Amino acid sequence: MSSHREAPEISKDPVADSTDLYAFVSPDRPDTVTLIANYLPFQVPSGGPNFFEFGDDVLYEINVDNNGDGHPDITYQFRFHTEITNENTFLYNTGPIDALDSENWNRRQFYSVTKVDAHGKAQLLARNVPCPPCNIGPLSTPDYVGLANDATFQLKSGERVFAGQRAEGFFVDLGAIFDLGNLRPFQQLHVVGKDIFNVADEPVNATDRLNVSSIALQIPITHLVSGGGRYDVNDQRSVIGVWTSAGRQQVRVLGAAKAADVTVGPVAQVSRLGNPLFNEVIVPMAQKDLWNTLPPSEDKRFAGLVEKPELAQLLPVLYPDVFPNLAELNESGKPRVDLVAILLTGIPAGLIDGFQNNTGDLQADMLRLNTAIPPAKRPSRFGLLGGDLAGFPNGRRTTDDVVTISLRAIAGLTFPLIDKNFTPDDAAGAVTHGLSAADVTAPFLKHFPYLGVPYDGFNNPS
Amino acid sequence: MRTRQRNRPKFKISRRQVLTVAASAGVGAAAVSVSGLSSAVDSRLAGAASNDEAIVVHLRDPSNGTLDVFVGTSRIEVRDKGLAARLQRAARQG
Repeated sequence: MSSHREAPEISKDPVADSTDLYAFVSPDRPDTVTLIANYLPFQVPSGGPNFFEFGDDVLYEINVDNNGDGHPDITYQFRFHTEITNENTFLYNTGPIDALDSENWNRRQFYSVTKVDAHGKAQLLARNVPCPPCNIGPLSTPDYVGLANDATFQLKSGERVFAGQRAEGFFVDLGAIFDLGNLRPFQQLHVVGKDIFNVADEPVNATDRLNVSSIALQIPITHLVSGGGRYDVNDQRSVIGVWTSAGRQQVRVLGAAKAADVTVGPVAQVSRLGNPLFNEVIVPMAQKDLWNTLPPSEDKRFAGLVEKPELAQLLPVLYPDVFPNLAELNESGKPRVDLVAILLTGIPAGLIDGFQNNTGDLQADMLRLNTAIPPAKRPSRFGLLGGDLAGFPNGRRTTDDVVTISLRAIAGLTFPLIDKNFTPDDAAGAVTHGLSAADVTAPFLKHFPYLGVPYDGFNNPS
Repeated sequence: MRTRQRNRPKFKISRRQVLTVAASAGVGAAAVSVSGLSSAVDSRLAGAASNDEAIVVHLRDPSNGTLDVFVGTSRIEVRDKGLAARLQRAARQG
């Protein structure tokens, strides 16, 4: 979760495993959109001596569709390469790393940024851009904030870019949820839990004090939207659909030609992420690997799974007598058109006052952002469900509680958008895993790249 | 893919210089054609492989001699029953 190790094959390929995707109008630069794609989940900060890095053999992409056809109109591609400074040591660093060009830092990573348009025309925006090191500890990385700041670049083409380790910003009680869908705040109501637990319990943020590898871009809105203008909130041109993908060349021969590997062939997509939890919760395990290989334009084939999500069927079973109206809705066989709108087409105008993020009829899992909605002065962690038009599922901010928002939507809270006669269960507006951004130890930044300073290994050894 | 070892002088640059390096790359780099890189479909537009470029052949369908030839960032489909038969014989001998 939200897409960490979400499919069988990608769980065995961590450097290509997209974990979270964020897209929001930058609160401190509202003429720009910030896009963040996280990879390489569950990084224990002390995991050396070969600390975490992007894959030199992985093509990372952040895709933007601005005309609703489920194909990218703009793709930012990132290719990494790693260099060893000192061939005679096993160490990651042989002294303090006090600058990006420190000779004490033995294993450095660089990347290029290429922008590709809808016709496949590519423009190299930057190359040999350095990543910061991983956050090792006070002796090795005494001024980590300075190193990360130095690894943030403003490109002449208008984008701001960063690629490197960050504190995990996603919060979720994995230990409970994967134990038969338990939610500690409601464990005494769980169909099995009621025999074990007498009272509710405090949630645990299972992803706290872990790191991820982030690719972050801050882009002028006019570079992203169709036509390059600024449009009214009701104008479909103000809406973009975003997803990230990672791919590998199709053929790899290990140890050929005196131990140098051979890698050839076109890049095949192995990972994809738009809306959080889509592949995780909507798609059955048997189809997850397939889903990861497809473009959003193929998602019509998964629409039936959104119309009748497995989790909506499970909630009344897991929590007996808590979701009677949801159970009745399930039994009616009515398709969950509300979820189709949220996840596959965007919410059309007329359902929520002053809001739409619809991209047309094509059903495609993309994180849709209406760029004409300004950043909220007082954001609600429940995003759109909390009356905050600038939050998920209008894009996704780093502090949005996407687990609770998704749980409540699936529990039926959003069904009245398309059926005024449906009354959600009281529990649909109350169900939660119980966590918020306050349960993330590393403070989120108020500026690019917004995710917190990564935890260092010395102070977070396990 | 193996890590490239450094074969250039250690750079000694300030943060400001790094910024310039990254930014000027965008100016000096004209549009380059890498459209095949993100596509998993055939790319018949790729030029002939150079003599030292790795080529991997996959005999996809021996019955009609269909082979996938992987080179660079391309996959080229070839139909050659004779070659397919020779590859099969070689494989059996292996």
